[in-house]
Amino acid sequence: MTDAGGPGAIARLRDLLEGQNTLGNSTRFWYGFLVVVGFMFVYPFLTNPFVLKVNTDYFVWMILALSLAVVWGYTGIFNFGQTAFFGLGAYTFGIVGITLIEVTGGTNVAILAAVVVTVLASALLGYFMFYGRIRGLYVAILTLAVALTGNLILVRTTNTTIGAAELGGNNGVTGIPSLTLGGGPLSVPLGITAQYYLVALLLVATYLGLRILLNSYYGYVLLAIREDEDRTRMLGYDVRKLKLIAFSLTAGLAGFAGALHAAWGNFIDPTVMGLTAASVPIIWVTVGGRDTLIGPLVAAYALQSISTKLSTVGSGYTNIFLGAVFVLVVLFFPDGLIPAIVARWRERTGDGHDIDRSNTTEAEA
Amino acid sequence: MTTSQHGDERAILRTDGLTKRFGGLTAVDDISFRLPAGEIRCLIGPNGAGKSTFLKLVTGTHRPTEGTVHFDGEDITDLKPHVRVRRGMSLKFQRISTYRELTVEQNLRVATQRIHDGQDATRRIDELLDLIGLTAEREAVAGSLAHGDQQWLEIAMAMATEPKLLLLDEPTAGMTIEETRETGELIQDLVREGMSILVVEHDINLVRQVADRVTVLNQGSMLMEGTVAEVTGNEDVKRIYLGKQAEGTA
Repeated sequence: MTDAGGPGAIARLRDLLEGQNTLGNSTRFWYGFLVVVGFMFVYPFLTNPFVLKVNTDYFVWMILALSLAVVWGYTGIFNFGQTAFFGLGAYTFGIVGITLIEVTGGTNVAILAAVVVTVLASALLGYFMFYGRIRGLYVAILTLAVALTGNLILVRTTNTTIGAAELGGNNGVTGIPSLTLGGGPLSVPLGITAQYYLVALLLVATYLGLRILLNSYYGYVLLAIREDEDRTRMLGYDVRKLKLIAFSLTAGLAGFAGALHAAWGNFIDPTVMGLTAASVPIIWVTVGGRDTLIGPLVAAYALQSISTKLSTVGSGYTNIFLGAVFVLVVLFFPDGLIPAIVARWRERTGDGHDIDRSNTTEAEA
Repeated sequence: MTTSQHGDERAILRTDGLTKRFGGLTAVDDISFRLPAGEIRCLIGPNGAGKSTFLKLVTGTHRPTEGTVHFDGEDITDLKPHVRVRRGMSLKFQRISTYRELTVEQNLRVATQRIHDGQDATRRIDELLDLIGLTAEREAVAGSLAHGDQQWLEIAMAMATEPKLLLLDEPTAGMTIEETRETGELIQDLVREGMSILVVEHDINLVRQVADRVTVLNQGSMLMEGTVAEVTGNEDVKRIYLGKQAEGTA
């Protein structure tokens, strides 16, 4: 086969990105994808800084949604406390950021610290869960309990200081630095537009990276673990270790999103680990379709946009709306809206599947 | 005689004094068992005889209370199940354990990818699909297949790991007579390719078709071992297990 860049490179890239484990494998899908991404990148020219700022946070939530889709939808680990890791990442970023900004000049170390701390904390919890043979709904109960415990602890930190950061109890941590670009003395804090672009880029990279992961060797193993752990073990896979890795890395991704969120608002408080906060990502992922990536992305964006609008009407409406949507989707589209729409679309167009299998089997070189 | 010694032959699987007690219940009682390489052995016995527990001790799902398990000359008593699989052992579960929500191809991909990658895996999947006659159902969801096809799919998944020893726990449960016969032919083909096979089976027709030798368990102990003719001719075996079927044979 010729390796001369151009179409060959695109074909190889598509080979990595596409497969039976993710939706959207047609050329039509990728044109649509490019249009959406293109629109994301011209959006700053079409709107005002306030809208841009709000959208940046939606993108952060979408990264959180992706992390939950992979651990729950694909791997079958019902992590009801993904926001505990989101919150841990946010607090870690805040504490390290505030403490070190004078020393390092930037927030790179704080981002790194947020990811490392959440990966380690989740690995510890995961180790006791998976090697203690805790499965199914008990994982949900335990992870939710961890989030709520985190909330209770943070609420009681009124006069607690770590490093240069005051945790502030219910009032939260204020004065968290914005994201910076570059390192050391050359660090530049990002403005609203630059931050928007950076987070948008991270979101697109996360989505594409997870597609590559899910269509790889490990993607198949994660699905297999979700479907039947015993069968998967008896095909030679170390199920507990793989669950631990999946749990910790997706928690790390949630912690990363938490760090972005703290940097975005220059603020974090304990509600991020509360019951409502823990439920909301579950709702996005369920409504969108938990064993897809595109579903949780669309649902997180749409539901957050609507929630923001409703919250200007009155305080209770958002939760009522989210609860109602959740119940209706679970009752009528248990697999989520996007899979339901795709199924309907395929029925109508007579398209059995959206994978272009135009005989990619090549003779060995 | 409760054990038969094949000291000179290379045993792919050997258990010595294998015992499993659950509280006061002794599910497997001092079983010393040898399976020479290249043999098809059927393991029979009435419900509660200890067949399933014995298999679980072999695969490592249960740890024995006493005794050891040797696989291909190595003591594997302390190895975890997935490590045993990597040593060359594979199992088809008693209850159908395909990945019901995944497609036939995804099922086989999970089973093959540890050994083959890329185009190799695709070629191997094609071969397996051809072998079990499910090429047309490649993109069908496994849970939507007919019962017998699901059984075959799982047998194909167990084979896909390219084991030295294939353990089949009631592979023909719920199959038609014709499907059972075809399964028997498949098992015989596998042995010709060099596998050793241990089958837990209730269907005496399949036992007659494939077994080189038969091991009979009763109440956790090994009752006897022998050829199909020896076992079906044995009065004790007739009494505990084969009574009805044995009368029906010419």
